Amino acid sequence: MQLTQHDIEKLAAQARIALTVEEKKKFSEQLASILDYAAQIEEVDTSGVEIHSHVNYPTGGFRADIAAEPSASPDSIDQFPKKTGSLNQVKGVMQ
Amino acid sequence: MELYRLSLSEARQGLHNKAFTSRELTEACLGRITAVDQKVKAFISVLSETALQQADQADRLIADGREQALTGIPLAVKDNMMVEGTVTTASSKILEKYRATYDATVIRILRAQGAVMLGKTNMDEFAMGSSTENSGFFPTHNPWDLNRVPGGSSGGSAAAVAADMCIAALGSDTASSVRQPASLCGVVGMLPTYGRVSRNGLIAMTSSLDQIGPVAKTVEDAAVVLNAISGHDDLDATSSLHPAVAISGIKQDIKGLKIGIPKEFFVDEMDPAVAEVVRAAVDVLKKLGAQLVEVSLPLIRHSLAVYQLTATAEISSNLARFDGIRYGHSVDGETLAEVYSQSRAEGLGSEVKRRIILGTYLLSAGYHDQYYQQAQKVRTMIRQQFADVFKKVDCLVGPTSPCVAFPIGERFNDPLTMYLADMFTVPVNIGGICGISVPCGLVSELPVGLQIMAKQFDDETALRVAYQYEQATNWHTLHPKLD
Repeated sequence: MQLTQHDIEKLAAQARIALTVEEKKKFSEQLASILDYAAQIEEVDTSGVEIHSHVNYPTGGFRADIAAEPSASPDSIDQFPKKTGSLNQVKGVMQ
Repeated sequence: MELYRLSLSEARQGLHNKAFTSRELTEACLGRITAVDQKVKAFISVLSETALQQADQADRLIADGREQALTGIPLAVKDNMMVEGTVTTASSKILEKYRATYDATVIRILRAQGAVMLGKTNMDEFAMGSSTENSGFFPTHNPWDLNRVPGGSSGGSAAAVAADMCIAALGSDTASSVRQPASLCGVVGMLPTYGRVSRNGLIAMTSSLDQIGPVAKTVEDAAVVLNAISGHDDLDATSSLHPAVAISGIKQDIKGLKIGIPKEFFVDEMDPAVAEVVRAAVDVLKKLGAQLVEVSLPLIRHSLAVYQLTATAEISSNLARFDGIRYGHSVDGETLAEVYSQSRAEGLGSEVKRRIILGTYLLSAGYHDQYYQQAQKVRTMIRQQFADVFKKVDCLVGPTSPCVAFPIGERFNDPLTMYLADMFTVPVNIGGICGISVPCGLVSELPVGLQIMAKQFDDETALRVAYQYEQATNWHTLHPKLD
């Protein structure tokens, strides 16, 4: 499995992480070796096997769907990196 | 004996009998932290002031005869559990100044019990690692040899218990992260069955596998902590309705119990000296009346690959929330995209970035079926293979780690070799069963752990075998020479 630095750049853009040139080089090598190792699961015959999203099923299940007041803790608002009053100030989504 | 050396059971007895107060016990632990943590570096934050307030409150509860299992007991908590009002970092720079806005369910339970929270322990960033070298702040050192790793990711919790800086601790285990550091630090560490303990307020890494578990000085102590923190929680839909583990059950003998020895747990890749120590431990179980049966679980050799594919996919999704917008480290940029990408570039460490990028790849069109879906199917098959083996035996035993604690820096730049440290622990998570590591010997003056695994929700049998082994040996009484 080969992952070029260009592949890593595309993935980093999708993952919203700016990488340095060094990181791109290092990750393309390391991810290739991890994927080579992980490719071993392709040899397992899984025909007819169910997919589960976790290991224990069934679980305790969901709680009753009861309306409650939303909690807007002042501590949460204090931690906005930038704010106007109690509003979170962010860059525009549309340019 | 110094109070900080007490086990949880001994501390409870002393508090109950008024031999000492929780304040005295807490002061002893805080004094120990002051004396040795500059060398071990197990704690990210020490909460001295609130710990002493909690101790005073616990002393009042005890005086009123309203004590519970953990009342007045000084505990340490891994820094990926939300403790309201305290800085909760998951050892990541992106959360360096983040103050938790609510208590995790386990923390609410500790408060309701009147436990004392001494502080938050160091870990691999977002629990990604097996050595605690991946902490965004500093590595933790193994109390048995300060030049070696304590294991990870709950390395701070394991080192804090091993160095007697707390009476017991909480960790979390996704592939090895309670049991492997417990093994490397010579203490008891347990992965309860997934669903036993609520994950509400545990900062998510791999939601389908993450589970909180106890780190303790004895098996009975681990059982007491597990008993207190387990149970269904409306705030975690994956928490189970199973009744808590009965502590009295763990003291039953193991005569006639069928113990499986999986041949896949004794492989060429492991340190032969560790294998020898573990085989000697298995002989002890035989002398205690257990019946040994050789078994095979051929599919578990794929567990690490299944883990890597499942974990990285879930990580890429779970960690998308750390984006510099609502809380945590934030870098100003010209555009929103720049705020995201620069905040994450500065705030996240190398291992975390590597896993997010790999997960992004695995979930992209074309590779989702090839890797992620296939990994989920193999996980189902591994789970079934364990279920089939547990029709023949009551539990399984083997080593916790293929090696003793390795030198700091030795594996840091080689992720695949680092991941192999989890080779005997990760099948337990993937199989959805439970496992406990108990000290079983030394190799080159470094601790070795025996891993005992039992079927889903049979945590009591794993604890029972571990308890009987511990009673028959004295490895758990050894202490690192830190002073």
